[in-house]
Amino acid sequence: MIGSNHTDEERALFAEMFDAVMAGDEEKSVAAAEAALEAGVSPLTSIEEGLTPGIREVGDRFGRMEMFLPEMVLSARAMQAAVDVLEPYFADDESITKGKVIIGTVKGDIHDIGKNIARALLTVNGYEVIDLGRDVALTDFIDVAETEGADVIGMSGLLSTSLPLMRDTIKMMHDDEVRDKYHVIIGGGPTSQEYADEIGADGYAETAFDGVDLCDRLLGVESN
Amino acid sequence: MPGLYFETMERCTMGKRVHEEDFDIAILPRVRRLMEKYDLRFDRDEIIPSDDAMADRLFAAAVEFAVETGLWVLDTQKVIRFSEDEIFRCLDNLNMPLWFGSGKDQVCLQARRPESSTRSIVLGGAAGSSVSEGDTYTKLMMMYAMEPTNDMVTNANPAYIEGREVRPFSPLEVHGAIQEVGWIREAIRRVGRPGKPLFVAPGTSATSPPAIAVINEERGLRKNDFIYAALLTEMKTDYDRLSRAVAGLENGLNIAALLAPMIGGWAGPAEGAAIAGTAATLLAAVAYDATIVVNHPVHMSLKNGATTHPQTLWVQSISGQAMARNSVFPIGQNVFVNARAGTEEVLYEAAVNGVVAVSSGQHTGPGPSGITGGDDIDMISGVEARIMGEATRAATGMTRKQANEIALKCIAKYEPTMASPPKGKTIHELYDLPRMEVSDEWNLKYETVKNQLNEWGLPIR
Repeated sequence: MIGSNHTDEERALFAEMFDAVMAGDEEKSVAAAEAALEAGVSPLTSIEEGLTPGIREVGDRFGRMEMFLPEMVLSARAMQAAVDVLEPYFADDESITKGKVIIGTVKGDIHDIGKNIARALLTVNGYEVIDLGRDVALTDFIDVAETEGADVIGMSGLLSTSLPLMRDTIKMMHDDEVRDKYHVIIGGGPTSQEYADEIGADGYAETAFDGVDLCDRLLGVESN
Repeated sequence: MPGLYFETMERCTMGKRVHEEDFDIAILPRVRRLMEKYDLRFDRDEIIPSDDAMADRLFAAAVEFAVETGLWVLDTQKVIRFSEDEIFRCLDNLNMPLWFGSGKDQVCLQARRPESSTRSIVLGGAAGSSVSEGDTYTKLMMMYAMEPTNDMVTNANPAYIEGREVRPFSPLEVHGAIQEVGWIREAIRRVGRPGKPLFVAPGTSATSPPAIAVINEERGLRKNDFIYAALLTEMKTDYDRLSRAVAGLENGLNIAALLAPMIGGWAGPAEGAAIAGTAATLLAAVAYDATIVVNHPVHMSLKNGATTHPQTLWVQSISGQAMARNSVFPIGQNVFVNARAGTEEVLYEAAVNGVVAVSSGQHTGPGPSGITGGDDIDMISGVEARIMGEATRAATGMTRKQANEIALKCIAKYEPTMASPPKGKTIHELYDLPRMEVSDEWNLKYETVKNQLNEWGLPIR
């Protein structure tokens, strides 16, 4: 709900942002963000009152299957485009990113829809997601996490042959002495909490929605 | 690829580059337009629709969508396109019926229509389910081969090979695939059915080298057996999968093209998944020269790929009807269950898939299985395949209306636990495995479900 201390003009701008994100319309979300800056609205307020409620509504509708994956991807793009406009005007200590997540489907596995859903849901819930795609070498998970300063490494797979590669990645992280720097989570058809425990992962997500909750919990941040 | 063999290879590199996400995002607006234009509507009370006109409209929508969308190629980021004439030339020149296997184990794949009394093919197996290697694996395959209703044997996924985890692109992956098909061959010999045709996607094989390595007349897949080559969801392929198809075709094997339209994914709702899945079927017939398509719609809410959600059953039924009413091209309905062996729920899930498939003009299986792994090993038995096959035979020739009534009653039995399915028991707990004898407890559950199905009008002997 939009706070009651806003002017009618501000409320109209927040509504425009909300509608633009819902519609996945980058052009309109950018225009509304620019108009808000011009009207003197703080960038964080625009995000909290206009963009975030819109993206939260998208996530809820996706969960109820009233919106679908492509629509959620477009909404996330619209939100990001508006944030890109607002971000340069943040105060030095302001940030809206909950954390950085490296995500990918492990080597030999090209089934990536579950991972794509997780990426979209993490994005709409405030995470910066670096998607390594499908068929990802275990060294890439580690190397990119190191380069990007990630908080979480998320590995996904549909095939049972994907499981040992998740184990191998964690083992290599120990060998490279970087295991403690990252939270490692797994998901996908053959994975389970038991397997996560067995290979020393920090968590297992049954669904993409659980993946968001898991990241929130591991990073100690507030759920949307 | 008949007549288009080299054309298909060449078209992988033709045309403009299309970024993957642009290809993905373009799908939903197209299917939404076609859903409206062709008036396609999911009805929860009619899982098996009796509406011939809607099946025909879905076929028309799928042709339009297939021509407009094409197949995106992962390696080149190009789109293979086929014209409507090319698709119909392929469908019009299919040679049916086809025979597979040898001796008394031969089976005949015939064109079927909804409500047809023509015998369908039943494919019993457990692709996707993790099973212990060696004797347990072989015994499970023997169970499938011994089932009188089961026409072909499909593999399971060995959890380990030589006690080791299998990694993609590794030498053990090749060894494991060869070993696995060897166990299946041994299994069918040990039960006196050496001529049974095999229908295999090696469970240890994520990549094409091991899949191709199992093509071997002596101990692997023989001429006229089936090998899988999947499409990627939605409307995608890659060189790896096309190469499997080429290797299979040039060695005299049949291609089973697996596709998995996703409800809630790029194609949106159930109606969209039906359009995308049927369109992918048409393109697989051409691009892979497939003998059969295995349709495996998945639902966003179910992690383990179960095909028994009411919406996935509807997609399978209406897509199968669309193809059966407008071509002779055969569809197998992949059967993935949500519950595990040892539960009544899994038996209703296995039965409902058989009823839906056969009354909709399709073939049943492969299955019933489910995606498992990690510690979730050996949660499968031959009894699920038995009831799937028996339900298929019993529902053959049934009207869609009758079949729908039975299907809804089956769904009511397992739907309450779909979000958290009963875990079940292992094959070791459910059988005297050395003797392959079903435990009294598991047999009682099977008899209970069978009697219930009989009371509902499904005459299983």
